[in-house]
Amino acid sequence: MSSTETRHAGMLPGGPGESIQVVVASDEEFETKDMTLSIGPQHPSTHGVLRVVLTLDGEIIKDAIPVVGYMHRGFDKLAEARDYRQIVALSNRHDWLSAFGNEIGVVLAAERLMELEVPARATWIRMLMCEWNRVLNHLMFIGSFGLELGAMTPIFYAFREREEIQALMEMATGARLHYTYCRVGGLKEDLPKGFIQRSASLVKIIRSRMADYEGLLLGNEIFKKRTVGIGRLDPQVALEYGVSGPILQATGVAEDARKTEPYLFYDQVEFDVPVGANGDSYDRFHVLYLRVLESLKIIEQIHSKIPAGPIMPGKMPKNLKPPAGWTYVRTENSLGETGYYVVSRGGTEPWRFKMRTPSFHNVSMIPELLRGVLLPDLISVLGSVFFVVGDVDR
Amino acid sequence: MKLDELASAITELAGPIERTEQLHGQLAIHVTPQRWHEVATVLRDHPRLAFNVVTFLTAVDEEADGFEIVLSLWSARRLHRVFVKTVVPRDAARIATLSDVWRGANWCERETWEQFGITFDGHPNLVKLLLPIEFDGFPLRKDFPLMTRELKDFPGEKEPV
Repeated sequence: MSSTETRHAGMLPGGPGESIQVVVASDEEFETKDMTLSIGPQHPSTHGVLRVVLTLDGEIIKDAIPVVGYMHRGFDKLAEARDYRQIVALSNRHDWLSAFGNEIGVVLAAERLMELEVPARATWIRMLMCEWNRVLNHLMFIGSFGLELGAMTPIFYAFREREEIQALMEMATGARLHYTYCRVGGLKEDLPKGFIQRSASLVKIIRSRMADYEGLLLGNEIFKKRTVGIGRLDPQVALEYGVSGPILQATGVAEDARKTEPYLFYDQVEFDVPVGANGDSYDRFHVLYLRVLESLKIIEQIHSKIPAGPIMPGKMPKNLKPPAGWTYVRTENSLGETGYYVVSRGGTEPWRFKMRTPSFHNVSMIPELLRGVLLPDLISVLGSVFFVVGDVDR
Repeated sequence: MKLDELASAITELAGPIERTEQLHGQLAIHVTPQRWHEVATVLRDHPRLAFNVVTFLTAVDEEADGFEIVLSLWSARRLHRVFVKTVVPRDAARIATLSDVWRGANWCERETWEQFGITFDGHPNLVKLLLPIEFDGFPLRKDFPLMTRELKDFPGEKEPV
């Protein structure tokens, strides 16, 4: 039943103190309708073309459906028609922010199937590149997350640092984005003269500049207000969806392939897996920030550990023909677990080359995160589920 | 848990399985399609196994032998991994869904369905994920041609000089 009451409306026409009549409808009479809102596929908070279809009740998100596939190019099919050495070039393109982290898994899979011994120097250099790539990737997200929340400065700082890391990696690999530096058995080339010194001085520079981000974002009152307690993720839900990387670690699960299933020489370096306490947007960002510091720690240890020696095994066959079999290689890429499930039938091309990417599983969890969140917080939630759409769609 | 211990624990707890297989330090168990859902539930629920993460779920086209469905499971609690495999025939490619066991299997099954044409019975939302809705055919089947290779031979086929 509706009722009529007299209320005082301070700022309404009629002036202060003057009463107006307000009709208050009961719930049955005042029907609300859900609204469907499509965000994307072109939206600045999505780093590529992701579309999210939202069902809104007022400002509250009742349901969210990610629509993916705009960048699907059929990696698995393309890999089936290529030599293992060619897949390296194919694999570092879908996640354009961590190219080296993608290609390492491909060569590790081929080497395991062929039972190939990789020279120690090559393995250490691979690790060094993996970690620099991780810093490169995380700096991008540190900068862009700030941008999405309205802070312009951090992205300029992040790109200043990224430029120097890209120059460093270009020095060794000859490429700024798609390195294709790995070869089955080792590496394309040895490190150039002066690389280690330059890398060592860059670690010091980046570390000193990391304090800027702490001041700009982590300690920023506005940033905290928009991220603390927003988009909380439960660790059990995260695990069930196969979420990995900083998103999982922010929920308090210290799961990191470098620790739990060590590959390369990660068992010979010391580092911590940072974890969050609440699994909210702030924690996800904080874990990402701490991961950079851990990576820098690893890089410093690698500098003193790279031995002299060859970077490729002595004699490599003209045609790579891994014997029949299957294997799954798991690597801790910048955004989580990147894995390759490879089935060989003894030919030059793999029979099946399944790529497991972290962003695919992380994005599939997004509906759980968005349900019940206010629409203005959407950006804070989406931006903190750090993903690359190419990595989702493959 | 060592691989042998894990293999015997699974055979003991999950009931009859076809065979276990170890390759390159990884363990796979082969089950019949009828026991697919049942074995999955045991693998998740038993505290000694506690497989709580679906790393991936996909299929391999084995041509005349049908499709091999591969499920990779990881236990974040016990830190061990197992691959569960089963074979479904080509002309009756269907299997029970696991999206009610692990919610993460939902998207993996949608992808496997659109790429291989394997139906997951009981799946809540079996629609195309990565491919456009009007796309015809199942691209990861071996009989689906890759047009670039149809037009031009694979350069890697030639003997290197």
